Amino acid sequence: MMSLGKLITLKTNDNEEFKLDKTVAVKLEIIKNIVQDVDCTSNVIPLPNIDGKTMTKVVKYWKKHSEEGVTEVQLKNFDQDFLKMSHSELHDVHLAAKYLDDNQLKEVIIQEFLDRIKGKPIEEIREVFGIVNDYTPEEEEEVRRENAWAFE
Amino acid sequence: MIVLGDYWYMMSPNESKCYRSLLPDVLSNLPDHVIDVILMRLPCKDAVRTSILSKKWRYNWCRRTELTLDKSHWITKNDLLYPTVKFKKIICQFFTLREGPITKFTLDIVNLENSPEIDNFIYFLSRNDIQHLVLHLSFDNPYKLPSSVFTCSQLRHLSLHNCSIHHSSVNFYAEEGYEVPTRLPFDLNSVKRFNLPYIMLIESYKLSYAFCLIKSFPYLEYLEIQLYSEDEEDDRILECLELQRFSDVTFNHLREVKVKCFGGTMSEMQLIKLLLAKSPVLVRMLIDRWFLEHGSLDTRLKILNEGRLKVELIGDAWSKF
Repeated sequence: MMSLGKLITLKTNDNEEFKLDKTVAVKLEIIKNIVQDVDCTSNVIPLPNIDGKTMTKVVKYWKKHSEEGVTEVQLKNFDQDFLKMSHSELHDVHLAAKYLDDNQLKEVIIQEFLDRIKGKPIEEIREVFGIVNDYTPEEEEEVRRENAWAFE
Repeated sequence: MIVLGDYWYMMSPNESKCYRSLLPDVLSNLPDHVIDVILMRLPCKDAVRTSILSKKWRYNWCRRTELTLDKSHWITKNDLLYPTVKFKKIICQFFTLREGPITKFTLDIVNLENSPEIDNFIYFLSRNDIQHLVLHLSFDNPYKLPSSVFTCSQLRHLSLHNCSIHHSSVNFYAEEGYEVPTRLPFDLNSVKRFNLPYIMLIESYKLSYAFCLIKSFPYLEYLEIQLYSEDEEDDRILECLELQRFSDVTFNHLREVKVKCFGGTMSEMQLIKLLLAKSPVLVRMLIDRWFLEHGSLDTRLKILNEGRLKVELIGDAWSKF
């Protein structure tokens, strides 16, 4: 069992260390399990799948969302700001949230992806996400015919 | 454009083409289950349109497990086809491509004609793990529900509008002149919640059908009834709500009843008294008195109190605790 220190250190794959209040950290299933399972004398938990840049974001999110007395409005504004990141950063945070089994953060990221494509024409989605249209014009026409009702 | 990480800067369109492939295609590389969640939350049409994003996206939408088909799909700006014809075309295209289970499905064709294709459709759903099924069928004439509905073993929620139910052992079609069965020949033990959206307390045969159903749900926990009655009442209504007719029934699990559009007529009062008398574990009865005139409230409270029931008036609803 881990010693009963107040701080837990999370160590990313590029050796960046994040000190977290234990009460914040154990809210996450994965950390709780590691804390319970891992027989280590130090309070350092290695995160082999997450880099420091991504973990900085995740920790920032956790800290805000476990702040005492924080209001709904404040959290909403924080989230809005937090999500101003590139698609690939968003992707990395999603992977981290998945690894850390943080469903709330996962949901926030998926919703952001959705918001980035919702209501946009196909051309714009391709442009925004850099999706290469690898159909020939004939093939694309075929797919349009295949689902004709959706393109009317 | 120049691509720096994920960021784009202005360049001429020709140049941007060369760089486009350098951009990591984050969206396409999301795991399938995440793409599925995103596509599920898009309107159905938008989800299907993603098929032309790239080859990788062609059949992604086909895994969608929740679908809603309503008039927004066949009433469009270029209304060249007759809606019913268009609807048939859509479901044909749709089910050619679909794959995997469909757990939640809503079909709203109130303004179309019923067509035999709906049978195929329901058969298809019955074999694809349907759990939540909502059918708003054509107003024209009640649609005869195919027997495949009774084989949907995963079904948890069923909402039917304008349907008639025919089963090998019971012909359930509410029309005057038919003999009304007092209860179904079998009990439906899994029905826990039942919502009767529009019951007219005018024609006794309709009410009898409704009661035939409710009597056959021995494990019913929640009942919601929307009433409609007129001042001139059919004596047969009061007759068919008489307590002695229900000597063989007790709703032993009914905990909550919601009566909507209560107007305070004798037949409605009789219905409420009946439900109160037959539900020993009832915790809460909400009576939405939308159309109730305040003047005669006391009389009604008196009628309810006759049954030695403690009735409280809370806001717009009456609750019994």
